[in-house]
Amino acid sequence: MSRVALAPGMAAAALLLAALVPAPAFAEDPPPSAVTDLVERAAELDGRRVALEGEAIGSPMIRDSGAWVNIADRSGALGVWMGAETARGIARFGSYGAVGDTLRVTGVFHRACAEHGGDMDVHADGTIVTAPGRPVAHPVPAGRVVAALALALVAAGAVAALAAFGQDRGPRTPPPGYPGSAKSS
Amino acid sequence: MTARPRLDDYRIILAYSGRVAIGLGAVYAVPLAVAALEGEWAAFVDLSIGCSASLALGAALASLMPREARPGWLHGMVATAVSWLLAMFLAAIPYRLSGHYASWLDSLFDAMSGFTTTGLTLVQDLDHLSRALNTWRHVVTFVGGQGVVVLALSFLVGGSRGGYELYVGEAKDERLFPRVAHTAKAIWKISAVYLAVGVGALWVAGLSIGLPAKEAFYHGAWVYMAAWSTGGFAPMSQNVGYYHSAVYELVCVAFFLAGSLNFALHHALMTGNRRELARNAEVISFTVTFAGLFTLAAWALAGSGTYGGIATLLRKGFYHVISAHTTTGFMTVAARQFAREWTPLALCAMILAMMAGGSACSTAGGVKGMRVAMLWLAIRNEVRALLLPSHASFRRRIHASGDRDLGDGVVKGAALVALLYVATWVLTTMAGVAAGYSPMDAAFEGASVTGNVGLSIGVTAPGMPAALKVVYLLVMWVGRLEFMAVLALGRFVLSAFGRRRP
Repeated sequence: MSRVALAPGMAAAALLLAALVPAPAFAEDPPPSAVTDLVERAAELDGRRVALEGEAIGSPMIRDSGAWVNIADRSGALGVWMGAETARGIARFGSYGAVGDTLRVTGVFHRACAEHGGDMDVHADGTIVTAPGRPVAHPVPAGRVVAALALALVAAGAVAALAAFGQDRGPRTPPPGYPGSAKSS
Repeated sequence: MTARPRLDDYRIILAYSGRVAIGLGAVYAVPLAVAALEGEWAAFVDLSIGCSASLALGAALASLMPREARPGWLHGMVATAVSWLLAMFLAAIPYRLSGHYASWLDSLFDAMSGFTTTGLTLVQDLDHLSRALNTWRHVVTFVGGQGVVVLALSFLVGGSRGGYELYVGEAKDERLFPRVAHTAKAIWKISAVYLAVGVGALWVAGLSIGLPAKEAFYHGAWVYMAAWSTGGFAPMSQNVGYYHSAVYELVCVAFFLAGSLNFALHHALMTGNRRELARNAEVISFTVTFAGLFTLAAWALAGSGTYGGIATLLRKGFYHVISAHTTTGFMTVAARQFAREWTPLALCAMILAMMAGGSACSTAGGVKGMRVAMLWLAIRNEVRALLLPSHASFRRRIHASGDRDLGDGVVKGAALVALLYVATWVLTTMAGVAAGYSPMDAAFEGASVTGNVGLSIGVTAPGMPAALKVVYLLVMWVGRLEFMAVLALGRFVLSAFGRRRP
């Protein structure tokens, strides 16, 4: 069960709380590990409590008894199994148009989770938003638009010229096969 | 052609390559439509530059065809090799413009990886890629699976002379119909049927595992294109591990297994010849080698204790061995898990699976089941000949969409290609070791590159040495074309410096 179940609109409050109040309840939590560290030290950390901090990416996948949320840091990405309500409370997921909420997850790390078909995962028992996500704009450089238009005109002219003057020529006799071919020899 | 090529030789080769470029330009319509639909205008502009460059250059080159063209065997082979290089450059344009690749080399690497259906990637921040560019990556691998040249043959080259040489140059030698253009179109029709079924099945599977409807559709389309092409690209950085679902994995297996089968076999099944499935030498060869290698990998993994339960062991072992053997490259583990969690024996089974590969005239890479079957039967025939009286004779045949003679020439050809694959793998492994990687890591990644597989043990990354990126890029190209077209190009280049024709 997640320590903090987030509701829509509560992300900012949770962020403020996390930033201003060093909650005693989290004092015993381990420091965040990078995904790479978890992969490289999987045998050593198997079954132990870990912390992971990264961006929620893609989409939450709500299943019968919980939800998958994939979290990415600079070194890689890992699946986190958490309560469905907790997953629903995450306001923004990383995609082309957005940076997702940054989550700090604590839970038990599994090198090859027996419950989930051998996946490497973390079963979360605590999730907080440490930084809210944000939309990302992708402005189009004006110079690139001009270049694209000019090139499109050149392409249209070249294809039109080929259609007007080009021909398909030559006889139609196929030669025999080549070495290694099952049809040859 | 041992003498120095004439101007017309260059013009024929460039003209055919131009037609392939025009075909590629037409294919750009798919990601452009997605970009417009999704309002991803920055990606739209990048893709339109790639599209226009392909059409403009393609039209200019296609116009070079001489009036009295006499395309020959070598022209077709060389044009195929050149076409793949040209397609790589043209497909890489939106990659580089997107800002998701650190250099032109990385962009070219991914384009070649896509066309050759390898699936190794140097993309950065994949989880934030636009839908349009993700579509382009997967369309590239889908087109590469059927064959870049098959695309041009289907719609642009028609039945003209030179078509068959181009077709064979792309390592496809089955003719479903007498005319090669009809065969090329049949390949696309088979793929289109599976496209509709595959996207639908993965869409439903995506919905069932909790993906939103629109995401499920896009992921279904992308993953289908990569699966059918035995490509191995995926829209998220965790590859198929992102979905955390046995159902999704199984649907993927169904389609990449289908993609690894010979198009002639698909054609036979679609025209009612279902008995072919049980008699086909490639199917039998694949079944036997897969069963053996999966058993070996499972035994090795069971001994290591990485996967505690039998269910998890079978799921991880089965998925990755069949992904390797079909040369797909989908993964549900992190790359470094192979190095850290899998035993050397399990990795050896994976290397053998990657080298064996799928069927001839399919989207798969590797030595191919047909050649494995041919070599096995040839060895069996030799042993049988030794045991029989000297005057005794027997038929040497192999069944694959019809009985075929297994003469010395055929066996020699199969052995030659298999030998070239092994030699290339050895050299690629040595390149990896020279770059500082462990022999096992270098051998695993080398087999993945040579067999156009895409599984990674962690060597392929944006930070890897540039020289190794170039080696891998070239090996992907050579492996996909099964050497002949590239050897023909080498001979053509050498002959350019030879004596002039009388």
